[in-house]
Amino acid sequence: METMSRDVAAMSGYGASSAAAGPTMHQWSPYVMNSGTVMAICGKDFAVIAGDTRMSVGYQIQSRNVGKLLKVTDKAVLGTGGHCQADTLNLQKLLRARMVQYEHQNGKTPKTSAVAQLVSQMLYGRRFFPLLTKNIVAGLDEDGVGCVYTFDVVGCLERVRVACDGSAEELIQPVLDNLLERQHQQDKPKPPPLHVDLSREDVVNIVKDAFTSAGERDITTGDHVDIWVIDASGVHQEKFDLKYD
Amino acid sequence: MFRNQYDTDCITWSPAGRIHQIEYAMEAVKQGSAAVGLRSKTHALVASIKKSSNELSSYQKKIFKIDEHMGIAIAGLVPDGRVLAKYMRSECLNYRFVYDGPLQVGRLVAQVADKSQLGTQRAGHRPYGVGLLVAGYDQTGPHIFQTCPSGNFWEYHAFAIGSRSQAARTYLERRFEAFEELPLDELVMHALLSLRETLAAGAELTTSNVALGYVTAGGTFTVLEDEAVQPYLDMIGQADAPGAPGAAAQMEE
Amino acid sequence: MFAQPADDPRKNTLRPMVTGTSAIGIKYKGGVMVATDTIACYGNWIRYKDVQRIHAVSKDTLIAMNGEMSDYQKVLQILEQKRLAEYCVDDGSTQTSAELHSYLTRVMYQKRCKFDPLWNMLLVGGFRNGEAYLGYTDLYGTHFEDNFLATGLGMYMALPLMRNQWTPEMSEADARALLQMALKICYYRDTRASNKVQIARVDASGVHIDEPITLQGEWNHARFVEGGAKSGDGGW
Repeated sequence: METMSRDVAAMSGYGASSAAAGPTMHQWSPYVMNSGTVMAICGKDFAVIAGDTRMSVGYQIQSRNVGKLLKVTDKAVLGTGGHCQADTLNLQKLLRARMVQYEHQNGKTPKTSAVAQLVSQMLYGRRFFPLLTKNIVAGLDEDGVGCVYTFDVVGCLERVRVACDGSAEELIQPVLDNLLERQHQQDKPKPPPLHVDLSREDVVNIVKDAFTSAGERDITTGDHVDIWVIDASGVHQEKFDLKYD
Repeated sequence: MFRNQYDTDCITWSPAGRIHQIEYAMEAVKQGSAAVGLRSKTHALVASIKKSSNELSSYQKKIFKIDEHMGIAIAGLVPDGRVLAKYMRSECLNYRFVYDGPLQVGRLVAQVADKSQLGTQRAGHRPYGVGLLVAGYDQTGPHIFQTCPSGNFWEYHAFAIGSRSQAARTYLERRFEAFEELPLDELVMHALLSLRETLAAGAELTTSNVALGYVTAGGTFTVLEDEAVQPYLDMIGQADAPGAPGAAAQMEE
Repeated sequence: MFAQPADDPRKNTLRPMVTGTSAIGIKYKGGVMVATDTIACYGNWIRYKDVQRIHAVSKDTLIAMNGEMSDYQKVLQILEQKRLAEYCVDDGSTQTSAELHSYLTRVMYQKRCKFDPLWNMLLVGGFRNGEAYLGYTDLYGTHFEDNFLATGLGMYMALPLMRNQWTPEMSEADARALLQMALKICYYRDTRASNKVQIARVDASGVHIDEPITLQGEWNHARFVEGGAKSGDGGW
C-alpha cells in the first residue's frame, strides 16, 4: 500500500497486504503475536509453572525481559504464552482487580479452582472478540495437592497434570507426555490421577530441559525462563537463562 | 434539637439559613460509637469502638480496608458507611486498573465529599448518616481526613468523631504535637488511650470492642482486631500502673 | 474528512497517512534520554520537514512518537487534558511517569478494541526520586518497560546497537553519543529518516527538549563510492 508506513507494517507484521480495489473495511487486524511459551507440572504437594521472558514481534525481539507469569494468590499463578501482550495485560489487570474484590467481599482469598473458573469466565466473556492468550493456571488445590488448569482462548477449562501452551507447545508437550503421562507405554507405571509421580527437583529439571530444547528451535522462546514453584509456604521464584539469539 | 416546619427534606431552607436534615444527619454521626485517627511522620492510624446490640450478637465492623494504602473508620449509620466503603474500594480499584498505582487519599476524600453533597441537595434523597475518618499513605505522605454527611471534609493531625468524642479530641489536642516522631506502637497507645476517654463510666476497652487499622509508606493497610489488639491493651494497662514510665509521662502533661 | 453515505458501514482510519519514523530512548545514570528525527512523510514524500516528535506531558515525563502524526496530536491532546485536570486539583502531587504510561496504554488498548487505533508507537520517559523510567506502548496496547527502547525500523537497526553498548553506568554524554550514532545508522538505511534530529532528556532538573541538530553523514566509504561487487553502480 502506497502510503502505508513501511516501518509500521514491518513492525506489526500485519496490515500491509491489501492494495486490492474496492472499499477498505476493517481489514486491519487488532491482534499482534508477541508469542512465547508457558508450561506447568504439578506434583503431590507442589506445582511448577514456567514461562520465558522474550517478547517478540515477527522476527524482532522487542524485549528480553517481559515476564509471562502473574501471582494471583499465594497458591495460584497464571501463566500466559503464545499471546498478544496487550490482551494478556488486560486479562491480568482484570484478574487482579477481581481478586481484590473477592477478598473485600468474602474476607479470604479464592481457591485455585475458583481462580481457574474465573479465568475461564473472563475468557468466555470475550467469546466474540477473543483475548489472544493461551493460559495455564497452576497452584495448590484445597487439599494441598498440586493442580494445573489449561484453557483454550475462549475459556474451555480442564484440570490436568502437565500442560504447555504457546509457540513451543508442539515441541514440549510430546516430551511431557512421554516422561510424565506415559499413557500408552504398556511397561511403564501410570501417574496418579491428579499429579505426576516425580520429585520437585526432577520436575524443575524437566522444565529447564524443555525450555532449553524449545529455545533451540522456536525463535520466539528464549532469553530467560521464570520458574515459579508453588508449595504450602508460598511461591518461590527462580530465573533460568536461555540462549540470547 | 427539636422538630420544626422546615426540616422535612433537604431542599427546604429554614429562615435562619439552615438545612435541618443535614444537621440531623450530623447528629447521627455524633451518636455512633467513637472513632479516632492520628498520624506520625511515618504512619497513619485509625481506631474505633465497636458496639454489639446485645450480649448474644456480634460486634459491628467499623474499620474497612479500602486499598493497600488506605482504610477508614466510621461513626454513625454503619450501613451507610458500608456503602461508602464499597464506593471508595471500587474507585481505588478503577484507579489501579487505569494507572497501575495508588489513588491519592485527598482526591478520593474529595470525591466522597462530592458524593455526600449530592444527597444534601436533591429531593427524594437523604444525606448519608455517617462520618468517616480516612487514614492513608500516598505520594504526599501520611494523611488523616474526616468527611461529614454535609459534604464537608478536612485534613487533620489527629481527630475523633462519634459519641463522646469531645473527650478524645481534648486528649489528642493536648498531645498531637508530639505524635510526629512517635513509633507505631506508641501511636497505637495514644489511639487507645484517647478512645478510652470516650467510654461511658464503668466500660472498658476489650479485645472485642476495639479495632485498629494502620498504614505506612509502601505498606499494606493492616487491621488489628480481637486477639491482635491484646498486646496493645496490655501496654496501656501497664502504662496505667503506678510507677510505670508511661504513666509518669502522662501525669506530667 | 471525506463525506460518507449514511448507509455505508462506519469506516475508521486503519492505515497511517502522514508518518514519523523511529523513536529511540535509553536510560542513563541520572536520567533518561530519547531521540527522533524531525520529518513527517506522506508515503515516500517528505511532507513536513520540521515537526517536533517529542513532547513534555508533565513536569517530569515526556513522550516520543512513531507512526501517524494526526493520531499523535490526538494523544497529546488527551494527555494535556489529563495534565490540566491534575493542575486544577492542586494537591501537591503529580502522576508518575509509570501512571501516565499505564493510562496511555489503556487509551491505546481501548481504541484498538474499537477497531479505531491510534496508529502510534510511543516511548514514555521520566525521572523522579532518582529513578529513571522508560516505557513503550503502541497501537495494540502493548505495554512494557526496558533500559533501552526503539520503535519502527529503529527496532531493527538501533536496538541491536543499544543492546551492545548500553550500560547502567552510562553518563549523559555517553547516552547522547550512543543515540546520535544510532540515529545516524537509521538515517543511512531508513529512506524516511532525516539527519535533522532532536534529542530530549529528563533528569533531576526536569524535562529538557534540545533544539534540533543536523548529523553529519559520512558518505565517502570506499564501498559507497566504488560501487557494489556486482553492478558497480554505487549500490551495495
